[in-house]
Amino acid sequence: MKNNSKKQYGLIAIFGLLAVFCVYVLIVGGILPHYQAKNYLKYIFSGKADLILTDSFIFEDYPYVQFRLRSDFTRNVGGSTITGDTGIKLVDLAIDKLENWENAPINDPTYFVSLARAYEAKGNLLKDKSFIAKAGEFYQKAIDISPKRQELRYIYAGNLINQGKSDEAIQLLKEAVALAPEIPHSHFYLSIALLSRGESAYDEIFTNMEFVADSGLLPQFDQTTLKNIYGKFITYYYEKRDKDKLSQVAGRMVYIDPDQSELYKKLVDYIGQTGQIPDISFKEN
Amino acid sequence: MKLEKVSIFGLLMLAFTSLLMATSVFFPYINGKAMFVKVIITIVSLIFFYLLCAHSTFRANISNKLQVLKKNKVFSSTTIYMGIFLISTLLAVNKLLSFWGEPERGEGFVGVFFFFFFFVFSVLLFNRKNWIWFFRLNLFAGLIMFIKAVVELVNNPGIRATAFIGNADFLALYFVFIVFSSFLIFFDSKKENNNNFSGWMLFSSISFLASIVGLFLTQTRGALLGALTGVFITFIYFAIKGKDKFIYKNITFKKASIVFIIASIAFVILFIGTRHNPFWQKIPIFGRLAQISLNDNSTGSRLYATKIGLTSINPLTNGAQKFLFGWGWENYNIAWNKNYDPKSYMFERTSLDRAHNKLVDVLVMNGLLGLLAYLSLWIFSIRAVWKMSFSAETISILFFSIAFFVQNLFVFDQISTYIPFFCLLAFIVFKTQESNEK
Repeated sequence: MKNNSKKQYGLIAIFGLLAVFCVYVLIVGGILPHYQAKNYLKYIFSGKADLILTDSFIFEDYPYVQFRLRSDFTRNVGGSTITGDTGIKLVDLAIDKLENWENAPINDPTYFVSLARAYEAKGNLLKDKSFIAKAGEFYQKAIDISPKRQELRYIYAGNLINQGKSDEAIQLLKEAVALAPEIPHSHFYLSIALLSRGESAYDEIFTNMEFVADSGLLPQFDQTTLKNIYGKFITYYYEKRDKDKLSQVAGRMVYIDPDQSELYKKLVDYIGQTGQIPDISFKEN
Repeated sequence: MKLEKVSIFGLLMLAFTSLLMATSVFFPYINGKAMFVKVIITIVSLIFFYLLCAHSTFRANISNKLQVLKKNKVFSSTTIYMGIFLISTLLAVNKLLSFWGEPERGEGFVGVFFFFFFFVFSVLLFNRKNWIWFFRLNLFAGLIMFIKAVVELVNNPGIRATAFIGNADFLALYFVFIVFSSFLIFFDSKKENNNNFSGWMLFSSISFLASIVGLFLTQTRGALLGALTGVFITFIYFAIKGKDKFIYKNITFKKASIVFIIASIAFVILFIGTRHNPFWQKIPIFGRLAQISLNDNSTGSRLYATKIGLTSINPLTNGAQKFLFGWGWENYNIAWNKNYDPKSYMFERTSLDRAHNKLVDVLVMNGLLGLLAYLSLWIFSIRAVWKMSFSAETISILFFSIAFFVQNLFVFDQISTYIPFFCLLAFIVFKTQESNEK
């Protein structure tokens, strides 16, 4: 009997604790984060992002929503059209809320990418390259966490190019290629970075771009960039009188530049039939 | 007791969870549902606590039920799994994320624990009548879901329906759950009305047809494979258990199911042999099933996610703790980033927070002990169902258990599938207790 009542009091204690736990979770992990997200999105969608500066409740550290909210804020600030003092205050707030965050998810590369983007936004706003360089440090931290993710190298390479460090960007993208040589995207981004070296790198770019083209994934890449790169090849190999590569490049242009595909087809056919390169007059664009 | 009825009513309302959306916050398809579950379970837990304190008969009744439940293997293994889940959370790399979850999934320890509370409270409070009403309410919810899916497709022909769930894969499983609920309600009404046709039989038939059509509208391969495997295993069950049960005149379930099994195997061989025939492309889902290959993005990304998952719990590279207790719930992404395979970029270019295979997810996030506990709850469930008496209800449970388990080999649990999952477990516990009482 005594044992039975002890068990029943134990039951009350367990379910009492569970009820307290539920109430606590509902408030701290439900209602409060819900209103933080709601207020934040209300300001963003109504175009009143400046009101975020005065609403400190949004960034109170209820973990359920904070990472999503702070990284979303950074992204919005990065793409914002707000300039001047308010723009700078918003960027500074975005940086502060990520960088000085006690509970920052430091094992997640996305956190450092968000932070880097916030610094890039500040650099662009103030036209100050030192913030772009600071962003680079955070991209490097993201790579340190996930050293085999080539995608992080692509993003950091873009940052290095913005800093005017093309050689470092090329080195980084060569590492990306080495991680998994079969991935065409690494070859594509390496090709873009190599463009900074001018005609001396065209043969290397050509090899990389042909790898991309042979993968069959060409339609997935930015068509304007492809047109630009292969357009340069046309004039380059024409001037070098390299009929094999010119024919190969023209063959790719049939698909890359549908507006002029007939002209490129004619060029391929002409080289194929005569073994000669015809006289071509190049116009700008 | 009025308050007990209020808490039962609250639990019944969870049948409508999948229909809820909160458009003013992040991930509207997730957070409306997550908040609703938290509110209902908190109210139920407070009422439950009050009843325990204030009513000695209620307290004694619950205490007795728990004594009996301790011996129930499905109940115990589910509780043990949640215990390991808690340990994984406490040992997680990012403990806050693992504990609280985040808005994209609405899970974390607390999110999943609220669903576990639904399991516990429904086991402790629901009687047969309550269960039947829970499944009936699900039929209403399923029909609303179906109408929304149809409206979506009328407005945007050719898309995969997502309705109020926001994702075709999870909607498909939801419709399989409605198929299961329809079976239960149909046969329950049939029994209640002494084989005479009733309104609930008509309604469940309509729900059944709607959910089959709904399943095809989602064009989800995993759920279809799950449902077909569920049907196949059910027929194996018939072949073993139905030798003295007659389906029609002198045709036993055993004989009929052997014919079905042979026909199914022949169909699968025919399908695999002719899957490149354009004919299959004209049939919804089968067209997508025919496209499965090691080189398609969906298969490739899943295989790499599995490979990365297995690497991440390798005790030689990541330690014994990760091997035994995993990286913690919601920490799959951390494991994925650390053990990333750069070749996977060919198939998947976004960062993954789930392996798209429930077993791998559990292995990575809850470790080997978590996986063993998770598998044990399935093994005890199937074993309990297999031991139940031959009935339409048993067959329905067996079908849904297999369908759910198999489809989860291609995706993962989501806020809309946790209620069906814990409802299934709780109903199995209820059925085993019911048959023990008899």
